Amino acid sequence: MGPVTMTLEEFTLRARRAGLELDLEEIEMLYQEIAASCALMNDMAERVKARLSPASEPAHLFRPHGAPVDERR
Amino acid sequence: MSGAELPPTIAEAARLIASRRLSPVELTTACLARIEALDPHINSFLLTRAEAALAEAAAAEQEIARGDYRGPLHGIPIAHKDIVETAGIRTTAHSKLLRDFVPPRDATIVRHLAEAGSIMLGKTATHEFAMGGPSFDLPWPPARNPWNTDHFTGGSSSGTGAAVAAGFILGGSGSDTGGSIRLPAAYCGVTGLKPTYGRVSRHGVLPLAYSLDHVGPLAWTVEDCAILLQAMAGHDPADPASAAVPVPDYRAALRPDLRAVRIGVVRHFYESDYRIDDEARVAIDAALAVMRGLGAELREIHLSPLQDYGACGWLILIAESWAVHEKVMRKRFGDYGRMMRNRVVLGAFLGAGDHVQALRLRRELAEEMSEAMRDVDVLVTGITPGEAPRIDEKPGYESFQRPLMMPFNVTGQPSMAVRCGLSLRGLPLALQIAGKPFDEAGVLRVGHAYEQATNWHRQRPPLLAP
Repeated sequence: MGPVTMTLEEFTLRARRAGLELDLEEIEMLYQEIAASCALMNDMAERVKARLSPASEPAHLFRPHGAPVDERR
Repeated sequence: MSGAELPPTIAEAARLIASRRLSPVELTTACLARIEALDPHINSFLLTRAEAALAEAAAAEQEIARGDYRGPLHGIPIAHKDIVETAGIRTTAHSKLLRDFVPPRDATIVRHLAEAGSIMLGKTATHEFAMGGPSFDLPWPPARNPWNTDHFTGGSSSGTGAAVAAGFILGGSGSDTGGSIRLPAAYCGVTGLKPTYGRVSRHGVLPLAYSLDHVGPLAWTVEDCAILLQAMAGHDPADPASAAVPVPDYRAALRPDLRAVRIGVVRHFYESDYRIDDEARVAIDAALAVMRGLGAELREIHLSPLQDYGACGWLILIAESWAVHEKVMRKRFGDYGRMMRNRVVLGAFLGAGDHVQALRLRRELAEEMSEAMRDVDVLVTGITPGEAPRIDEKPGYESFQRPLMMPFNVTGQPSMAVRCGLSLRGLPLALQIAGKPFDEAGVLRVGHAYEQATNWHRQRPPLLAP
């Protein structure tokens, strides 16, 4: 199954939520241009999630400079 | 020397200048003459500063005559990618949005290279804000490949790559977020080094993606890149990502052989995960044979599929580039070029969770890479699908589909493009050498030995040869 393309309605909602100051015609034009790319990004996001090993918890340790090394894995 | 002659390498010019057999004024004049005559076909420069450059060259000549020789970059013509801020000199990011922006300060690398005595000839073309090209809807045209001007330079350090290949400058600066030093180096047949993340200051360099941006040199030879990196590298408190790691003598690492060097070949990246053209693959195989002949021990290395590194890197890049541009892009979407805005705006459609997951995977992949490199010194792998495509070829999702360079932005380790052949159509082919974090010396050593054992670096673009 190939990348799933979001609908124009969903795209419009997200574009508005992102604060893009575009009218409906411009949003639809943008949708035509990048919907496939959005689907590709979604595909990549799914690939990343599928690839993550369960043992990678806890997630994304932040270590400030000079702090002792956290031995938790 | 005249503008009809191709300039020497930085190392050659430095020997001539230090022994006063070549004047910085003569060299700068010759480069400026080549730019004037030939750059209308290449479009590598957005701005040249001939008068100021000649004055600096004259000052360099006088200093050297007094015995105040600063080193191998003294009197050497260079240029900076036009995302690198230069005090009092327009810095546009090749964008309508910054067409009149004149920074009040120099980027740290500009200051370092000026203190080393180099002569800045101007600012070079780039993809808009270093993200995606070639674009034909910007205030200035895209740079063209000096080997065949119907072909793409690669980007985003397109102008620097083209200017070095064309003999307009002897070296220059670039930036690399997903391949933007290495791709133009590969397509233009020059050497381009993406150092370790944090090795070279990014202070004063317009960002694309905070945790993926690297700054580094492009030049004709590996030794020239070593000379440039020597001046560019070092801790900078003004860059929060700058690493406080000592800078070794990069030229001292260069040797003619590869005895005791262990090379890991990541063959699956370019033979199965993303199959490159047969002629590119054959060129890499031939290069590996040369490296073996120089004394290197080769072994095959297996990593996660290339697409895992690509997905991880692109999600981070898109999320971070949206963070950089969202405030302006919300209000002035149409003022960006189509290619740039259509890529960066994808970040507006990513979920925060997607970004976090990519950061988690990044840590896993970096650990995997470190473990895989435990018993080798460098990796060699593919870098491009093949020769540079035509400049008018519709790229589509091309940037997502050139994943061979992204692994080393994800892991932050150094990686360098080195020419290893010519295609049947006479366009450069290249390979990629990656090293352990902060072991640029190891990467340069392998690249230099290979380069000097072959003749690729002796061939210049035929269209522009005298």
